Amino acid sequence: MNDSIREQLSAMADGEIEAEGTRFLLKRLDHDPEFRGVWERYHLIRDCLRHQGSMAPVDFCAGVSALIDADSAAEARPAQRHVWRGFAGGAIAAGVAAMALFVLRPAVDPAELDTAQNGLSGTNVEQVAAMTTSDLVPPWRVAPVAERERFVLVQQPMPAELESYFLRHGEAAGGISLLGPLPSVQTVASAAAEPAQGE
Amino acid sequence: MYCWHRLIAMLAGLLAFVPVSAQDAGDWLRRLQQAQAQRSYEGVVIYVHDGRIDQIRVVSRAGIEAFQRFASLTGNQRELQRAGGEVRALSPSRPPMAWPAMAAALAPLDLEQIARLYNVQLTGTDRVAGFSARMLEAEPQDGLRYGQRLWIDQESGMLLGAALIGPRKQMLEQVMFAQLAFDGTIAPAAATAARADAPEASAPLLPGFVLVSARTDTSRGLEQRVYSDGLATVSVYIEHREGVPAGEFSTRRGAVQLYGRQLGGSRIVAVGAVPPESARRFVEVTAAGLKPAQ
Repeated sequence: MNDSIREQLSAMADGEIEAEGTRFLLKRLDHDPEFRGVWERYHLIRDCLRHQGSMAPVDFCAGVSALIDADSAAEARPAQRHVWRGFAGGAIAAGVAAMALFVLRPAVDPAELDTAQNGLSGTNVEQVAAMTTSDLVPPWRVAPVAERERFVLVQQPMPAELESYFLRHGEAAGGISLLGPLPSVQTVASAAAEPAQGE
Repeated sequence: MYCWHRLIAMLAGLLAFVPVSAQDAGDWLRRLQQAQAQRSYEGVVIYVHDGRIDQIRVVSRAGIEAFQRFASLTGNQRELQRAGGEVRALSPSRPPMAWPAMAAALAPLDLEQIARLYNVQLTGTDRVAGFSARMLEAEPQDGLRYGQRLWIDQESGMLLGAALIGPRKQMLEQVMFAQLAFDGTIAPAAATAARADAPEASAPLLPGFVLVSARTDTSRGLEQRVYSDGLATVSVYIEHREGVPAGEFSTRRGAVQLYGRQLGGSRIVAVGAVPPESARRFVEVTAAGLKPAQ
C-alpha cells in the first residue's frame, strides 16, 4: 500500500474526500483485509491523538504520542499542516507501536509476581510497580497536536517552589486525612529525580 | 459427655470469633481516625517509591501540646516540624521555610460517602513492625482515585502502613512503619465535629471530592484549598504570579502528583496522591471558576 492511498484513507477519516473517492475506498475496504486493518489502526491512533475513549491501553496512546513528539522534534512542521497528513509520516512509527501493543505483551507472569511478593511478605515490603507506564503518564499530553500547541510547557518552577507545594500539602493532609502522618512522610522523602544536594 | 465438651468448645470458638467478625471495615476506619488524634508515638517509616526505599523518622505527640517531626534518614536531608501552630521545613541546601499550620481537627467521617466511592473490605491480617495488623482494602469505583490498602494496628487502631494501588491492581507505592513505639499516654478522644474553619460547602470539583479546609498565606499571596473524598486528599493552590508566561507544568513524588498551570497573573496547582488526569481536572475546574480579575 503506497503513501498516496494512506493519505486518501486519512482524508476519508476526516471526511475530507469527495464522494467518488469515498465510494472507491469503501469498496476496497469491503474486500481488502490489509486495507481494513490500516483503516482500523487509523481510528485507534486518531482516538489516541484526540484523547477520545478508545479500546487502546493508555500506555499505547502515550507511546503513540511520544513517537509523534519525537517525530515533530526531528522536523519542524508547517503551520497549517493537516493533522492526518502530519501524521502520515509517523505511520510507520505508529505501526511499530501497534506491533508493541499486540506482540510485546508484558513478559511478567502473574504467578511469578505472586511468588515474588510472597517471598517479601516477611518484610512487609511488597513489589512496587515501576511507575513509568500508564499510571503516571500524564494523559493530557495525548491530545490533538493543535490543542497541545495551545499550551507551551512553561519553565518548570524552581525546585524550592515545587517543594513548598508538596510540603504544604503533606502537612495539611496529615492533619485531615485518615492516613495521619503518612502524607507528610511522602513529601519529606527525597524526590526520585531530585538532583544531589547542592543543586 | 465427649459430645457435650466438644459442643462447648465449638461454641466458645464461635463466641471468640463474633467480636472480630462484627467489626466491619467502617468500624476500623472510625478507630483509625480516633487513634490518629489520640496516640503519641515515635518510629521509623519506610517509604517504597520510584524504585527506591526511603526511611523517615517520625515523632508525633497528641493532645494540647501537639507536636510532629519528620526527618528523612536517607537521601537529601529534610525535616518538617509542626508545633505551636507553625510548620517549619528545614534542609541544608535551601533556606528554611515556615508557614502557619493548617488547623488540625477531625472532620466527621462520612462512611456512606466512602462506601459510594470505594468498595471497602477487610482482607486479612498481617504483622507490621511487630504489631498485629488488620488489613483493609479500598477499591475505587471510578478512575478518579487510586485504591488503598491499609494496615491498622489491631490493639490501638493506629495506621501501621498504607499502599496505593493502581488501576491494574499494581502497587504504586507503599509506606510502612518498620519500627514503632507508643507513648503510654492517650489524649482525650477528639470530638468529630464540623471544623470551625471549614469553608462553606460547595459543589464538588470532582465527583466525591468535597472541600474540607482552606487557608491563605497572605505573605505569599497563596490560597490553599484542601479537598477530600474520605481517603484521598488533594490540595489546590491559587497563587498570584505576575510576569510568568502562560503554560503548564507537572512533576510527582512517588504517586503524589503535582500539576500546575499558569494563566495570566494566576498560577493554579493541584497536588495529591491521585491519578494525573484527576490532578489536571482539579486545575481545569478551578481555573474555569476563577474570576477574570484574579
